[in-house]
Amino acid sequence: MESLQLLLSGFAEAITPINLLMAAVGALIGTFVGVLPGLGPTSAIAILLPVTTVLEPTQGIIMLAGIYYGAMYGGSTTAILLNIPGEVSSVPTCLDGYPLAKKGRGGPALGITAIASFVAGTLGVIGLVSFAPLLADEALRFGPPEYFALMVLALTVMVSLSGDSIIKAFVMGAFGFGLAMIGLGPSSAMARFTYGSSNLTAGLEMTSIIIGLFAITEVLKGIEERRMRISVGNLGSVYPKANDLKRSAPAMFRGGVIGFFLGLLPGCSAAVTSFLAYDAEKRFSKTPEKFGKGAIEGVAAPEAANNATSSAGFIPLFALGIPSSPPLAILLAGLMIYGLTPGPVLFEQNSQFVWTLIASMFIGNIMLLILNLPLVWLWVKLTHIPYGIMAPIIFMFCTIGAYTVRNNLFDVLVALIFGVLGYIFHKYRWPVVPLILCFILGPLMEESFLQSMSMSAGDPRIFVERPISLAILLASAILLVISIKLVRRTNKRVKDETEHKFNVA
Amino acid sequence: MIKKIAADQIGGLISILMGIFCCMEAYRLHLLKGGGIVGDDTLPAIIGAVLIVLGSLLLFMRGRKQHAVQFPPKGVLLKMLLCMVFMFAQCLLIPLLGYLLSTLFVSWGLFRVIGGYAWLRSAIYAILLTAGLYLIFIKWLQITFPAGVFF
Repeated sequence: MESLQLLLSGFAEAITPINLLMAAVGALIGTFVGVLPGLGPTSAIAILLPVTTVLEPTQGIIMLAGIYYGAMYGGSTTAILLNIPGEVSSVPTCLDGYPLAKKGRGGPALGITAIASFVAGTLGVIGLVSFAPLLADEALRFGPPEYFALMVLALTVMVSLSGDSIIKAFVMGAFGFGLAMIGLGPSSAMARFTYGSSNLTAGLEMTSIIIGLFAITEVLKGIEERRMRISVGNLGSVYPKANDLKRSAPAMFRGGVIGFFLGLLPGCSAAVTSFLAYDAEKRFSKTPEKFGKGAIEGVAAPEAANNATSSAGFIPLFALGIPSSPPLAILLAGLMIYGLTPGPVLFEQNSQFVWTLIASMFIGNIMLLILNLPLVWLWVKLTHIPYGIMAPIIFMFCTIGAYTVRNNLFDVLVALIFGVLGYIFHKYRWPVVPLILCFILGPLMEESFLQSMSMSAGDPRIFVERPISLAILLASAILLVISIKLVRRTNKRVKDETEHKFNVA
Repeated sequence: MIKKIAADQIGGLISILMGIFCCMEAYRLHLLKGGGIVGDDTLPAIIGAVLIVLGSLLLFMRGRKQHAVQFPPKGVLLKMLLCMVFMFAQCLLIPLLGYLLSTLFVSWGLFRVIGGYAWLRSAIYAILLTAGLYLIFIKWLQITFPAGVFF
């Protein structure tokens, strides 16, 4: 009941003309960037994150929510219309979405996608309102050892982000930790890895690294691939027929349930759940032979799962500070720019702000549905903008974004260096998200580790002697095994499906 | 131009070097630390050790699958290199020429290189982009950028 009142006050804060405008602008530009071929939701949010930092915190965070949902939807649009999945989680959407588009039914497929995203996203946010404060209340009992164990749990996410080598993912994670250590040490404030540089003493700025690894790298990839305008055939009406809705509704429900509950597990990404939902839907279907040839349920189920997983991911993010997917890791960075550190005390210390954010997620979802269905034709037109025009614009946004966080050109330099590094990492298949994840979680982990060790006079057994800490560590070990199995299964499925059909950007 | 290279082994070597680097920094901090078991030197030492172990695994593990790395043709690679040169140049030019002029010049070059447009057309696009950035970020959002030494 208290949560409901707080949510209502969040709505009161969020529903002002300027904030609604920000939600609308966020949803529109999020979709715009997400629609650009090859730019997935993670890159889209990374490119647009700097734009929000120049706004008031409430407006900025509302715009960020709009961008998040817009970018997710934009990714699905390219998957359906162009057969280009921006992220691995969009591959199952391509399987039936693109055949539908080729039949001139791209419009209804996009309509179903928007509805499935809206339904699953809204259900997910309801789950967030119901569960996150409870989980956060429990987590308030945590001391430094439990926080440390929680950070270890968060690191199990790395397995699902590891790509083709878990060792490489862990090396990148350790590199991220190393980067986070640059600056003043948390215990004695001694300078580490600075070598007398005043710029390094302040530490590296997270936004610059994100802009470099995602946005600048993405532009370089675009130049390499010589991306151009791509023409799309006849879409048909974007409003699905009653029959489409009837066939899609159970698929949306099943996909949403699979996506939401599996999405609560930190090691379970949207890529895993969207494939599971697609496979489950095919198994449940009376006409499985239609899958892969343009079955509307084949679009509804993975899209619902994808969005439900994304929304469910907000629960561990807000309540425990664990980002379970790459876009959420970037969003976590966005929240930290505003001085918010997601975790158990977030609901206590920044109650108003958090509930405004949750309310703005509802608004972002609604904005997306209202704006995107009638504007599908516009997104299709935007895919026609030549890359030769888009790329310099994105480059200039990157400069501004990296500069504005601390008004320091050194941050722009860092972004450019990480842009080049990001391209090299991409070529040699070194996953960058573990780096970001550990860069974000590193300082929190170090702090809780040092505090725990001080409490126990240097005895590491403190982590296994306290029951909650031990339980979380055991859960991490179990999740690690489950994650490895699920990721192997998903990698196999992605390999099966992408061998001849797509290039996962 | 596909060629097989032992990229992961090189990555492993770099990881070991970074690990040694971390351990050296941890040792320096340890000497500076007054007392106590754990401190600012602890995590650099742990991370250093982890990097050395993981790097060694990549370097010495047999039977790892090597994938082919395909680089773009020389022309495209040159284009990418030029773009990054322009971007680094902008970083150097901003304190001298100020944000607006450096953005104008750099975006002119970027439109020319990436889009392959004629010089005049690229200049028009650059002027439009700079004007748009000026209106949004400087006029509307009131962000302060370096004005340059000549202004």
